[in-house]
Amino acid sequence: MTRCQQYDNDWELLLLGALDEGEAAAMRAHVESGCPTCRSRWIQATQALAAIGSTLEPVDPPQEVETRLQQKLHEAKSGAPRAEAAALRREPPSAWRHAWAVAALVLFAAGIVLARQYLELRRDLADTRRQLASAVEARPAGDMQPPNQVPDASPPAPIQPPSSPDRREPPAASQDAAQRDRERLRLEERLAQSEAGRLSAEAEAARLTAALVEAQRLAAAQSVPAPSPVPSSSDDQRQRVAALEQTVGQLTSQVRRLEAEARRQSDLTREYASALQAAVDDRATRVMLRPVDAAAGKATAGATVTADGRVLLVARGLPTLPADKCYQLWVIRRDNPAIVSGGVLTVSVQGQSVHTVRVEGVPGQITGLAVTDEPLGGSVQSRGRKLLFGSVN
Amino acid sequence: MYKEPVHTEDGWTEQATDAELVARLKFGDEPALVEVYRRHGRRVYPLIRRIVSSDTLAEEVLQDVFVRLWTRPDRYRPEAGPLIAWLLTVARNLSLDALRKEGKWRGNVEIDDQVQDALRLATPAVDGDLQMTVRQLILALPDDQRRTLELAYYSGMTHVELAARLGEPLGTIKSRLRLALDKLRKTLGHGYHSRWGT
Repeated sequence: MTRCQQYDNDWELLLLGALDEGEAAAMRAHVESGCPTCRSRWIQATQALAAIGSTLEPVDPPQEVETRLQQKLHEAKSGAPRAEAAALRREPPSAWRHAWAVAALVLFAAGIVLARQYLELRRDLADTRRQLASAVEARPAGDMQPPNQVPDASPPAPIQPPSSPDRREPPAASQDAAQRDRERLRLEERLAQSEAGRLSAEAEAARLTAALVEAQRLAAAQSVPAPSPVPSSSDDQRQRVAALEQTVGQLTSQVRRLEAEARRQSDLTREYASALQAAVDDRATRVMLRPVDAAAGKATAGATVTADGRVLLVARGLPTLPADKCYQLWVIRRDNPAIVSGGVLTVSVQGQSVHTVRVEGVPGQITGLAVTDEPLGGSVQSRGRKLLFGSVN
Repeated sequence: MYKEPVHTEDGWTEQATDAELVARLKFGDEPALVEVYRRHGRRVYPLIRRIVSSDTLAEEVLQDVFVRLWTRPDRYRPEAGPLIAWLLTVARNLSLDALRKEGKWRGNVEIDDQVQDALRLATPAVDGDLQMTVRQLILALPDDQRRTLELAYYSGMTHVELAARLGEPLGTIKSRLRLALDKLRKTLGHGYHSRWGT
């Protein structure tokens, strides 16, 4: 008989305290040595005995016990707060350095996107002009006038992407207001650059649209058989018109797409503007979100909750979720509804996410933030695992 | 999962599972502990009161149980079973310790008629399936096995002490306890965790 078999019937007796000390010590040593079989039996025995304890009819303890318990907790907190609790309540500078850097990188990336979009717009514009020129050249002389307005080929001043992101630490609480102001000005300068880029992109999209309208007008004019003393014998001509119409159609959808992208960038710019200003707002509350589920891996997040209820969340180390899942932010409030969605997070391949949301209601009522995994597209009510959590003190 | 319809300021706390609440304790989340207390205090309290036979001492021990969870939440591991099982185990141990510390441990806990009546008349609680199963099992045990088991559980006596207390040979006591515990184990099977409703 193995030792495990020998002990098998005795785990409940051990936990009851009914065994002799020598026998009990040997069994404890054995389970502590890591024997998985006996470890499992130990757990089973613990639960069996607890089941006996659970058979008593539930009784509400006096209310004073809860009050005294809360007092004890307060005392424990004020006396010797545990490291984790202290970390939760203090803003870890390193985390916010990271948040700051990520936010700056996002802004930089937005600038790059705008610049690339601008280059795309220029290329599309050039293509459009070539198409228009071809149409003019293909048209039999005298059948039509050259377009009255050729889109302005001269591009606006190119967007200067923001200079490499400043990775300096955010101003610490103890730093003076002057430095904070300098940071704010620097941010505003970058945002102004992004805004200029956005305006340029929008202007370019508008010019493209005008050019396409003109191209469509010309194509329509060509599709109507022009009165000619010579019977139209040119199948070639009709094919060219059809091809041109097709191209115009494609370019039209492209312009629509670019316009939508410009609008999105515009929204993003505004969003980041307010979020980044919030990051240097003295009145804002900083919250650290920590993993509360093994599925969160080593993910962490920092958030800023501004006085007007805007939440800026910067998360990193988010594990890749299955294709049918997404990360969702939840804002926990004192008033009803107690839990409201803060939106679905967009996560980079590196597991980073920068997310902002404005919470309706009284901002002071926000008591916590949580990130869960939800079915793709998010949930109206949280059903996923709570992965990250942070209290707003 | 046993959940009282508690009203907390933190709506999230109310919906959290026990494992989530304990995870939050690791970060000093006080509302999480209060929620654990409201959820399970009324299950733990009667066990402590039964062991220490004193309301005042029972209240102190009850606080100690939850302060223990507050100060060392890492001691509870969800994979090892439901939180209520851990709390009841800690409650039993702290209750017996408190009696010994105060010199009140008498080893004379008896299963009287009142307790038997309470067991018979008890209404099922939220996770009544497990409770009722165990209650029925205990009530179905032969009297000598039941008396020995409950005396061992509520008094923490060793085999030798039980033998002396009941005036039976040591081998008989061991045999009775093993038989009773074997029935309990077989009745509950291997699905303890799920039977607890977690």
